[in-house]
Amino acid sequence: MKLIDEYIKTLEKELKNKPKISTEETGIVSQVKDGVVILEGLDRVAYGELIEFKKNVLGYVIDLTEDEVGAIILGDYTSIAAGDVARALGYTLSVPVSEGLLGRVVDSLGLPLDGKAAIKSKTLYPVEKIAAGVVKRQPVNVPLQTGIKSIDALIPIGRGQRELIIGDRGTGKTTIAIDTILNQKGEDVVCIYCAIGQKNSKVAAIVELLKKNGADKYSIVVSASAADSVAMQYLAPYTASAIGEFFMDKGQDVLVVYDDLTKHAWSYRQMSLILRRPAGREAYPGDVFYLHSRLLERACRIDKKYGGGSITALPIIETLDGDLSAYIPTNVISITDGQISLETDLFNSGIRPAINVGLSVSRVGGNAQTKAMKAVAGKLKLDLAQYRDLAAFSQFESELDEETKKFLNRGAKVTQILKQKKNRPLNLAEQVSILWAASNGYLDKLPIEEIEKFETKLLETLKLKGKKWLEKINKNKIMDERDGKDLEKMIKDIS
Amino acid sequence: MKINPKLKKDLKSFLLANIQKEQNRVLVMSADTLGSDEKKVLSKKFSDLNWNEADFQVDSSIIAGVIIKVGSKTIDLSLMGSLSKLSNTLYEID
Repeated sequence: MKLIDEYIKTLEKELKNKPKISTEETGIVSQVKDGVVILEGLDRVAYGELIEFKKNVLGYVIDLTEDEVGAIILGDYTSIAAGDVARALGYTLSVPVSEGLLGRVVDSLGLPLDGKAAIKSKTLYPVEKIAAGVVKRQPVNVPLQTGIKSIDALIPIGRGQRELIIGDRGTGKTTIAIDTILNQKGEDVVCIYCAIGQKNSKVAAIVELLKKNGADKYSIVVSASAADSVAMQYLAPYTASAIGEFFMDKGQDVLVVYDDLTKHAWSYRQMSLILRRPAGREAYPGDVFYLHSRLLERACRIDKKYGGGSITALPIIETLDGDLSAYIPTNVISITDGQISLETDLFNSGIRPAINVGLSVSRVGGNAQTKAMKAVAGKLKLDLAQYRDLAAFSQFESELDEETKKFLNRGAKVTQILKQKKNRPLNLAEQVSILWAASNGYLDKLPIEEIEKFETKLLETLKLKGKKWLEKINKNKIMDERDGKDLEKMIKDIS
Repeated sequence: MKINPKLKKDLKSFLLANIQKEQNRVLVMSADTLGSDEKKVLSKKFSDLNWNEADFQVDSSIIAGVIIKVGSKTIDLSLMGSLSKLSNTLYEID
């Protein structure tokens, strides 16, 4: 009854209002193209303004020429016919944001896709926003643990960093991103997975996986699938970023995965070609660089004075035949603070995650690495680099001196130890213990096939006997000599 | 062929003025033919518009009231307009 009373009250209020004399900007649809509508009129409409067609279909103005207006349609454009009237709404595109988004699947407009109740919110965040300036920022110095040994040790990622994941199809790009989300359990990091132009089945599988691992409580999925219009695909990452900014403004750390920006560039290319913008290299429009730079620039770490919080971005780019020098890959490589390069050959030879350590870098993450990890990773990096140098020669293994053989053996073991099963992230102490064993030569005498067994055994022993040790490392994030001796004892116990 | 640039400029501004005039023409749509006293009321209410060359059209689908259009600006004072606004409000309350 209360609801009905409220309903009637609102209606009465609405009816009592004398007809206000207000002018509206209107235009007439002259052309309807794939996801894009060209209108006449709307002389005083602004770039980025929303326009409304019949049946509450919204459009977003992205093209203003001398006598025409181009708008992308947010939703179903098949109901729009030439001659329809559109009116300007006078505000720019915003999405409703609230805590209620956690655990939900939404589209590019923040509307639920998971069939659950509407998301209640009082705040709107603009989809397009200029990134925080220099004054408000703070350098990256807090680690974001991915739970993947090879990344946390060799290509560490910090909160507020933008780290590109790049590789051919089927090399485990999404797996790395999802594992990172799974590893944020209990870390007070809000994770946003933004699917752009992905198969709905893949998104469903990811939602299921997050739920199964209890990661849905701190995750949000923004999805514009391959079946959605290009306009929705174009907007999805900006929406994900806007949702991230809401949580960042509350001082929280946010992780946003953009999967993937290649398809985002495709959707923008399609829109631009339909709008008849001049095409450049690979038929992308001139501002395809700005398309991604303005998105990734929104990843930042805010100074404590301004409320703190951060957005870490993990954009994903799919290459063709490992071609890192194609147009979009080079663009995004130059925008981001480093890349994780994945390779098909490594993947097929069983090295998973298939990270090419030589091509992968993290430009700012080193400052964010924990002391415990730094202590073991430094030696590890050296071992691997020497191994890579010598591996080429070892092809002609005829007369190798002892020293070389030692390096080769160590390198092979380290490569083995960096393998990791998917969806099984390890915490800092677990990673440190295994890497410590490898870099201190405890695996040198083991045959390669035994290494995986050794790892499981070590982790089991640590869980049974070394609980205190694990807790201590995880808490202090430092490994001193005494910790090393304790670990040595446990390693000797199992071998 | 050489054209006097001043002539060209004059012609351009003349054409532009013409287009502007055409664009700023007032168009009034009403459900029924408006009488002269009704027109007078309108011109009094919206005195800042140019009523000398106003067009009057009849469109029964707006049910009652008037819609005034000047260029891309629209002033919707029709019953149809308020009804559709109301239906939007109903939709939003739901």
